[in-house]
Amino acid sequence: MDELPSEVDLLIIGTGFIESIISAAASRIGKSVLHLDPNDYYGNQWGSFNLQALLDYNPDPSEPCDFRNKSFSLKNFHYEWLMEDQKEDLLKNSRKFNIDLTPKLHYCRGDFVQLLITSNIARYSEFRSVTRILTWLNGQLELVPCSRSDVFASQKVSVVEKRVLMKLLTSLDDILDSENTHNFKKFLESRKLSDNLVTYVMAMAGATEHTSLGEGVKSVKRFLDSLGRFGKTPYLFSMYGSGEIAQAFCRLSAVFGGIYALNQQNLISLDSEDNRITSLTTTKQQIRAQNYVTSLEQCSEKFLRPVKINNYISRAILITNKSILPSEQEQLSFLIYPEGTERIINVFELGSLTGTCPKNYYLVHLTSKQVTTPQEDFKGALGNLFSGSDQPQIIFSCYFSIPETSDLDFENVPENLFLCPGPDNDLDYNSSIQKAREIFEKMYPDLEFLPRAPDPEEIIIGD
Amino acid sequence: MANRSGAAQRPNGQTQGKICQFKLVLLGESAVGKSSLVLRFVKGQFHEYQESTIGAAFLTQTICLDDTTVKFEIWDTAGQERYHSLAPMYYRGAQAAIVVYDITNQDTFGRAKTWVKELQRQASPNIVIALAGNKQDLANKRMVEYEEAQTYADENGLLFMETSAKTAMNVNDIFLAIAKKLPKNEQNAGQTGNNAQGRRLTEGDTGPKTAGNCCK
Repeated sequence: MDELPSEVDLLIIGTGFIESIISAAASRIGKSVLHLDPNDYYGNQWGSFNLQALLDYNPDPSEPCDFRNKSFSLKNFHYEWLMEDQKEDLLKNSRKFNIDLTPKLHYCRGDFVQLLITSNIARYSEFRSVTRILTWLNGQLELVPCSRSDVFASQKVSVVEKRVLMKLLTSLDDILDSENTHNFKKFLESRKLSDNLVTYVMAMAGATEHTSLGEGVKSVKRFLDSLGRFGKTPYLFSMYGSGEIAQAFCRLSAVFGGIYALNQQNLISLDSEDNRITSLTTTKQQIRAQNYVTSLEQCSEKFLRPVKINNYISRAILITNKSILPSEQEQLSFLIYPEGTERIINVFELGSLTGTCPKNYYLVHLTSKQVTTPQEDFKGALGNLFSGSDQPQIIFSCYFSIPETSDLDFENVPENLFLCPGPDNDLDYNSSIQKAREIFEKMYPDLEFLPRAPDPEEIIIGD
Repeated sequence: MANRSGAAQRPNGQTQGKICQFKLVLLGESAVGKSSLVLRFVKGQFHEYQESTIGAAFLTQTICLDDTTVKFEIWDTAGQERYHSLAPMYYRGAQAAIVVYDITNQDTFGRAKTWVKELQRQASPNIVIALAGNKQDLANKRMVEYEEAQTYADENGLLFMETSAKTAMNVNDIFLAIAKKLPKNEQNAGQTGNNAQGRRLTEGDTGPKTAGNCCK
């Protein structure tokens, strides 16, 4: 295979979401970018896998080296077939699965969707609207009304309540200044909303009993602001899985000259001198760059001290045989499941229209902050959703923990080395894109972050 | 000849002058002339020392075929094939592919076969694949026999032509042959209202009108 370029402006190791955005942003402003990954797939912990590849996934490669940092790899990875007789059929359809390690939703009017549109990434990605939002109340699934007509059509909300709710939601801006209570739920209850309504509004905010008024109001506002743009709910999901998004940014980077090389097993070390990285040494060559960006998972321990991971994200992936709430048309459901008083489990139920699983099956993603182990953390919810005789059955389940690295700080990191954390526990990409932007602005102050890319029609080729 | 203005009107959703849109991906080794073929087809241009097409996410071109306007959205590899790092998203939803090799370089023909296999593995099972033996203008330095490639194409159900981006030989023809072979049913007509395709996001798009913009 050809040698890699020996000198570039920016060398990136790892094709996770944050690295990929930085790559696109740097290529976009004309920097020469070499983007490498020791893995033979895109996305690191943000990647998506077909079923066979998920079964083969090895979070702890045997040989630790300078570019595989075990502290940051997935933990507790475990899968199991609960209905062995379906295994053959599912594996035959392995390629129809696109299973995300880190599934995310996009707010229709969020910064990220705006960035997708202005950077023209949206021109080559496809999305699905989340078609319904569910929550769990009094031992059953409830549809969260998402539009004025939903609210007024709902038989679970009385006329008086409707008026109270509308008034409340239209005056969110004034609430923060005027209210004394600092707890979101207590505030809702003080407004004489019924349990049903409190639950709905809590679900819109993704709030727990501990959520502050400020946070709660902010989240409800985000929810409401994103309504009515694309589809019936405020959320979009990337077709073929969230892993597609990192790939789309990598493509944008390549389109602007970024050079891609995956499956780089021959990397030896990042060499440093006087608190700066000087080069990357591979078995074949030395590569010099002005700046270096790496994912934590693919960064040598020598640059990452101290390592102390306090939090993990619990994840479960299920393949089931029908929807948790069957309906005539295939739905893309987002279930906000309150677990105890301080935890929300985000559940995405994806059907074949999302391009992430074959027909007649559903792919269910559960995500929550970790308390004990993923198995324990989801036990209650799975018991409620998947154990009755008329409920869907779990054919396959997979559990793992993702280290929460978004708030870690390291000491004495070389000044031209920029570290990209792994996934966070947020519903969307907002914080991650913020992180990417920060790194970009540190390297290239005063330069524009992902300006609009030209439309195909505007490109003039040649002299 | 390709027709760029072919935006046939569809008053009241009538299918008079149906428009079908297809994603077409290019594959093949570096320097076999993938981008040159596209440039010849889309812009009618050829540059001897064509650099890779910086800034083009994809290019579009339309062909009129009887009562149907076929709109190609043509994706180039953007160099990601060079170190075998094409992302799976490249193949997503592709209904057609042109696998290109250089008739003066036997290795590129071998690699083309690998790309065909890769397509059969990664892409949709119904994808229409064309094999293009490019640089036909250099036939005096030929290393890949026409018959050999034709036999391989026949065995694998591929369209096959030798092309020259430089002289334009067979360039429009190969796209036309693909257009003829693609299914032009309602599934591919226009971009809306079809279930298999997802949503493309555009500025100001408010999507299907939903009743009421809640609570605002």
